[in-house]
Amino acid sequence: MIRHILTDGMDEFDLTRLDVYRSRGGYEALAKALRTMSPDDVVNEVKVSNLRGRGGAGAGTHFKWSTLPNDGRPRYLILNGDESEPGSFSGRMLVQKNPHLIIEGALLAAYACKMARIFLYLRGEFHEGAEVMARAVGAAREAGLVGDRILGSDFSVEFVVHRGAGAYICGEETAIMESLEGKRGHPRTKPPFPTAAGLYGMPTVIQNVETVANLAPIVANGGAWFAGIGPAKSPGTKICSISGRVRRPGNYEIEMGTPLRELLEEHAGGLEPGHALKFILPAGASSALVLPSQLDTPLDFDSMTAIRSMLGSAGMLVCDDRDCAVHVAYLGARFYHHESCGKCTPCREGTGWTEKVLHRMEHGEGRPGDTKRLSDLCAGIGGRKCLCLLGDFSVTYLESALRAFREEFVAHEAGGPCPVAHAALEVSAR
Amino acid sequence: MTALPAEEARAIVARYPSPRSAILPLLWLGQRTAGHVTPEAVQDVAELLDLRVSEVESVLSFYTMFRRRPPARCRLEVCRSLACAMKGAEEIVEHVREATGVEPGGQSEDGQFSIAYVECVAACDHAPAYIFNERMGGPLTREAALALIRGEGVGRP
Ligand SMILES: Cc1cc2nc3c(=O)[nH]c(=O)nc-3n(C[C@H](O)[C@H](O)[C@H](O)COP(=O)(O)O)c2cc1C
Ligand code: SF4
Repeated sequence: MIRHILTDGMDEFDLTRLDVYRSRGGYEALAKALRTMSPDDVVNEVKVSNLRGRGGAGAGTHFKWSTLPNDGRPRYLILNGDESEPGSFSGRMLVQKNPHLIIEGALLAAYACKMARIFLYLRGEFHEGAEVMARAVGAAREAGLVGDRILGSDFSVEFVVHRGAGAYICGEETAIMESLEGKRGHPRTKPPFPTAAGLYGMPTVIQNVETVANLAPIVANGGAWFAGIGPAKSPGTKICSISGRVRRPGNYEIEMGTPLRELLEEHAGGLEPGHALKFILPAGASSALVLPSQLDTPLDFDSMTAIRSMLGSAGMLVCDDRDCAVHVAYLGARFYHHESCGKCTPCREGTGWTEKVLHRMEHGEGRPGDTKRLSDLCAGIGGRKCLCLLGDFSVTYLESALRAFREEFVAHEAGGPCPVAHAALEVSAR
Repeated sequence: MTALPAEEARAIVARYPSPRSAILPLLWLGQRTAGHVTPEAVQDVAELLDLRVSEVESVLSFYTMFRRRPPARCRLEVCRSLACAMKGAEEIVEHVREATGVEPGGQSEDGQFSIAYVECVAACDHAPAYIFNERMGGPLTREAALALIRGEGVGRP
C-alpha cells in the first residue's frame, strides 16, 4: 500500500522552500522537542518506534544510539547521502524535494544524542542536490533553526554540507569517515565501531538520509504511532526505487510489508507488454536475486532476509526475458571491479578476475570451465574475508545467479553469439 | 595563495573541526574557479592545510570527479551501470564514437566536447541517464547525445 509520510505533499508543494515546509507543519516536531521534551524523551520515542536504518542493513536506530559512550567527548552525526548502489535513487529525490525533512530529522537526532556537529555527506554527482541542500540549510540558519541557541533554546548545533567526489565505497560507514577527514576513502577495520571511535576518533553516529527523515514524523506523532505501521519488527514506510523493465520506473513510498507483487504490478505498472519477469535485484547489485515464484514476499527487512535476499536500500532492478543472466552478471562485475578501493587482496584481485571471466563469456569468448571458475572466485572473495562488505556484495548476486541460471552460464562456455534473447537485439531494432 | 579565492577558502576551512577535512571542498573550489584542478590550486591547498603536495595529490587521485586538464565546453557523462546498460547506454556511446571518432574518456581536438562513462548516478528511473555539464538527465537517445555534444542543448527531458 502506498503511504505518504516522507513524501507527503512533495509533488504538490515546493517543500524546498522553508515557508512552504513550515506552513505544512514543518519544524513543529523540532519545536515540540526543544520546548517539551528532554533529549532522553526523544531517544525514548525512537526506541518505542522501532525505527530501523534505511541505508542497507536495517540496524536498529535506537540500538545504535544506545552504544554511544557517555564520556563527555564531542559526538558527531554523519548523514549518509552517498547513495551509489546501482538501482537506488530514493535519497536523490528526498534531498532534492524534501531537504528540510532531512534537516529537521538530523536536528532531532543531534538533540537526542547531544551531537556537536552534523555532517551531510552527499555524493559528488548530486550537483543539484548539493545546491538545494545548501540553500535549505542557509534558510534554516537565518530562521534560527540551525546554529546557536536553536529556536531560543540552549541547544546549538552546526550543519555542514560536504560533497564527495566520485567513489561508491565512500557510502561505507568507515570509508565515509576517512573521506570526511580528508583522506582516500579506504574503509577502516572494525572494531572499534564508529559510535566508540569514529570521525576524528570521536563517538559518531552514521545514519542514512531516509532514516533521519523519519524522525520528525516520529516525534510529531509519537513512537507508538510509527510502530503501528506495517510489521511490528520492521515498521514504517520505505521509499522503493524501481527501475529496469517496468512501465513506470520511479520512487514509491510503501508501507513496510507491502507485497513485492503489488509494488511491481500495480504501482510500477508491471512489465512492458509481451514480456515476462525473469528476476529482480531487490537491493541493487548487492543482493541475491528474487525469482518470479517469490513475488508474494512482503517488503520488509525480515521477510526479505527469510528468502535469503534482502530489502537493503530497496533499489529494485527488474529484469525480463530479454535480459541474459550472464549479461547482467557482467554488468555487476564490471561495477564492483571499478569500485573496489583496492585495500584488500581478495576484493581487489577477485573482482578483476571475475570481470575478466564474465567479459569473455559475454563477448562470445567463453571457455570450458568458466562457470566453475566463477563459483570458485565467489568462494575466494565471499564469506567475510574482506575488510568491508563490498567484497561480499560482489559475490552475493553472482552466486544466486549461478544457482538460478546455471544453464545460461554453461551455454556461454561454448563461445559465439549469446544464446539467450539479448537486450542488444531490442536496442538495435529500435 | 594564488589559485584559490582566499576568503572563501578560509571560510571553508573554518567549517571543520580539523583543517584537513577541507581538502575535498577546497579542490571543488579550485575546480569551480579554474575549470579544473590546477597544480597551483593543489599547491594552495597544501599550504593552507599544512600538508605536503604529495599528500594532497594522493587524496585527489582517489576521487574520479576532479579534472586535471581544462574541460571541454560540452561535457557528456553517460551512466553504464546496470539499468542504463540494459537500456542501451553503450550503444549510444558507440554511436557517438562512430559519428565523431572520439573514444569514451576522450575529448574532441577543438575542445568542443568530451564524452565519458560513469558508474551509477542514482537516476535509474531515467535510464539511460547522463550528466551534462553538471546537470542530470535522461533517458538519453543517440540523437540527443549528438545534439548535446554539439551544444544544441536539447533541453532537459
Ligand atoms: C560498500 C558499501 C556501500 C554503502 N553505501 C551506502 C550508501 O550509499 N548509503 C547509505 O546510507 N549506506 C550505505 N552503506 C551502509 C553504511 O555502511 C551504513 O550501514 C549506513 O549508512 C547506516 O545508516 P542506517 O543505520 O541509517 O541505515 C554502504 C555499505 C557498504 C558496505
Ligand atoms: S573489501 Fe574491497 S572495497 Fe572493501 S576495503 Fe577491501 S578492497 Fe576496499
